[in-house]
Amino acid sequence: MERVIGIDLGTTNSCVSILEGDTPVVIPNRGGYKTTPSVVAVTEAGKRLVGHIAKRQAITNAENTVYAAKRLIGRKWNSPQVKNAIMTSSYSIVEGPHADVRIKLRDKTYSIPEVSSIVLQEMKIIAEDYLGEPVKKAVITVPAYFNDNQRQATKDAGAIAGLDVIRIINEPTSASLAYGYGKDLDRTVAVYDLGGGTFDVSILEIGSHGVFKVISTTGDTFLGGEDFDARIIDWLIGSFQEEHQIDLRQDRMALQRLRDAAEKAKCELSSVRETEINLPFIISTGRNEALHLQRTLSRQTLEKLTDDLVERTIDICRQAIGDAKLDVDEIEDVILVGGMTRMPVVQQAVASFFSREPNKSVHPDEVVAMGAAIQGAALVQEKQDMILLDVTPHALGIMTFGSYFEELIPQNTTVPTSRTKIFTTSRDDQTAVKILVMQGESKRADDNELLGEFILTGLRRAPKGHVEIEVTFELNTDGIVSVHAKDLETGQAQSIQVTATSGLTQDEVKNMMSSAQDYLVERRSDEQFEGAKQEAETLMAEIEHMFPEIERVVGGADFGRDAIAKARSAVDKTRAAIAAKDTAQLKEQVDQLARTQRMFKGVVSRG
Amino acid sequence: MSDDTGKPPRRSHPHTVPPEVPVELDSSWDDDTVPRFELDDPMSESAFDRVTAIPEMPAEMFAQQMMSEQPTSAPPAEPREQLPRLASEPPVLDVRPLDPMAMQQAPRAARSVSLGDVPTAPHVAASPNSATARPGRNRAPLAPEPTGLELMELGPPATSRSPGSSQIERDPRDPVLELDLGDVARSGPPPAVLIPAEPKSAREAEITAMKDRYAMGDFTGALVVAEGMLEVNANDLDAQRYAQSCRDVLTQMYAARLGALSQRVRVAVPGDQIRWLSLDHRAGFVLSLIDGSSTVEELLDISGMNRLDALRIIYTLFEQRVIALSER
Repeated sequence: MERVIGIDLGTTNSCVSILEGDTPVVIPNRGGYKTTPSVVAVTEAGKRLVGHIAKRQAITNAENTVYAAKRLIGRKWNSPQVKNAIMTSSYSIVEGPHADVRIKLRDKTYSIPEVSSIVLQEMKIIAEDYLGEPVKKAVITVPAYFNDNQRQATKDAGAIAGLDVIRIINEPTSASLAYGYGKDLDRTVAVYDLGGGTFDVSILEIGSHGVFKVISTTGDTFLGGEDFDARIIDWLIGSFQEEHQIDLRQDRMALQRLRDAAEKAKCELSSVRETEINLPFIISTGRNEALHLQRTLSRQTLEKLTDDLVERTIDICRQAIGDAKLDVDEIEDVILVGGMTRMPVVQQAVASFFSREPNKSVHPDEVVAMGAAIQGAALVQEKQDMILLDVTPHALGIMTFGSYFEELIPQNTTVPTSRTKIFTTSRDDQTAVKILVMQGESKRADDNELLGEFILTGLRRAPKGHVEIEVTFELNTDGIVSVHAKDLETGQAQSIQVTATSGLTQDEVKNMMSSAQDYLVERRSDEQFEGAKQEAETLMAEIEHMFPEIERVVGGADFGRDAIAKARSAVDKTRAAIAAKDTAQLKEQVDQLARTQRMFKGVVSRG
Repeated sequence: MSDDTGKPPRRSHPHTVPPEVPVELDSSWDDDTVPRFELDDPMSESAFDRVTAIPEMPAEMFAQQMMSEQPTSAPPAEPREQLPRLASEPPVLDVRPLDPMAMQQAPRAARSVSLGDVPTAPHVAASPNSATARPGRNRAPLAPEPTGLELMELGPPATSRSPGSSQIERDPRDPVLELDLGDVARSGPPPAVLIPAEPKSAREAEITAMKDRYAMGDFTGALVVAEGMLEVNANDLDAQRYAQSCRDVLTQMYAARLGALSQRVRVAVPGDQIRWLSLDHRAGFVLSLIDGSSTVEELLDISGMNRLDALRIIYTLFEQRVIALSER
């Protein structure tokens, strides 16, 4: 049966998991880490970097390093989130051809799904290396608040990466699925997800027979572990400036080191009470003297530096409970998600707010990907009791007089579905009405996402409220919304079909898929060449090392001279193959070198 | 062989020539072979860089590797008319382009010979546009201009000597050494050697210096000059060309010295001793990137520096045994 991977495509880190037997397993990357930073960079030489390696140069190559692309995915160019990102990001964000968002790295412009696809492709490769077979299908998680466009953009990113995204599921739902896996639970839980760059809290009802209903979700897309790191960095910079009157922010290398050290110290302080931050040669002074930074950071100091951040998460929890119209004591369990929830003070704050110890049975970094893997396996194995119902993530409706939002299809409605409502005109002698199709939960239309609009004309002239217009919303399994408006008296009708869009056309997606595939082929080829080159270089070094001994042993014998000449020729040909980057020729020469090496070793051992 | 005067040939060395010194170079501004700089000294970077012109790997191997199309043995010296030095003349060197590989093979002591010790070369063909009367400088046209990035183009022309050869190793019976002053008087003074160069613009002087250093294999020195020129005028095509070529050659040299860039890098000094090393903050930064699993190539990618700078620092750390390399 075809394997399906579960991918937690995070704002700061991503994780891939697969179901082995009945157990979800998180797949480590080549460095042995189970999470991979969702960071993409292009070096000065035009080389693409992904993951840890990209993160490690994020400050020294800030203009060409993309992080937190998830904050931009599926967004329109004029959205406030994009404006905010333009102000805060070090990379260049530009407008795309369809009022979408693009990122410029060196001399190339990338769409956001394209950037995310690079991360997804990396996760795919990690899984393929682990499984030893190609992977095609995936379940990808997204925040519960993602609208249809953002979900479609995530699907497009998967497609560009060469993945068939068989389902997009909500992160808190995925976490709950992993938490409830193998148990027949029926309870209301809170998912407190404090990641690297974002904070989300969701209240879910887990029912028996695989019903996972998100009752409320809220969060802050600019609150996460990076803010905690920033506080440590500020503390370090401040104390260094006091001592040496040097602002380390002015030096990118120093700042990169501070960031790495701050993150490391923060992680260490989850398990120890104090840690030493030691950064020798952090900066050189004008007197050619290299200065060192050495500080001891205690857990207590860190907690003092970040107490307002923790308090903010609790305020958001309070809001989520309110949105769910529940009391805190109705929450039966709290699931912690995200690496930041390892911080003792965070756990204490959560325990204090919910009046119960949070559940620690799931791994905070891995639980979301594991839930996706469970769901992926259930989908291909058709385990109906485990399959999440496909629901609409946000309410659908239209804008009414006074800029209010009238909901037709509520949030979490199972698809396919159809709903109808009757509206009337708002002015006397109104002959046309504009239908604005929107998605969201706010009562104010302006706060919701505009999906499309159309005008119904030819209405009968009558006093306001006398003309009745029937509006019907149909939502099919592909997420396509059809809106139909009809004047009930005249039968005049008009309709629109709204399809979620990532901001890319089908042709663009196809072209990007093709480019991504080409890149993958090139990368595989490079890897093969590098592998063969390494092998060849080792063999050549050994052979050349043996030449004097071989010459001594074989003396002036014709056979010996011939063998040495052939060996030298093989070495020369290998060097030529390396210079020409000819993998096939190089592999051939590696075989030849291996034979030569064996023969030489034999001669030397006998000599 | 006899000269015009019919005097019998005399078998003697000119008294100004030390008998056993194989190579004479003006090394007062030349490279050394061993890095001896401290990274926390900003001046020392260039001092160190200068040594890069001379690869420390065996010259033969390096030549085969990097200059595979260059003849490995120098062509025989062309017979030339050689003139003895006039008593009043300053010592003059053979100013044909030198092979950096040949410089590598020469013993260090030989290359540290001071100007005063330099023997007189019997013949000089100085370029009329020479910017300096300083002995030992190459004068154009001495080496092909760096039109490409191939190292083989940087080698000496076919007339260059083999590493071991020099004018002082000439057969003492060589008749040209037996010319006396009377011959010189009849044939006129040696051309151009002592003619002061025309005053030149700063740029011309810099170009000459850059080309001289380049031709002598002092690629770092040439790069420093080229970059200085580019600071004044970023569009200076000559400087751009030389700077790029120097960077390419130096990059190749460092890479060749480090070996495979796929080697893993680890810190070879205990953590508590690192601060006692003599490093600058750039080297400190590179050191901080080393996690034991990254390769040289990965360090180059993440350093945020240009490839040459990063390679130079990694090589220096390697040379100082602060880091160690190992195959994956």
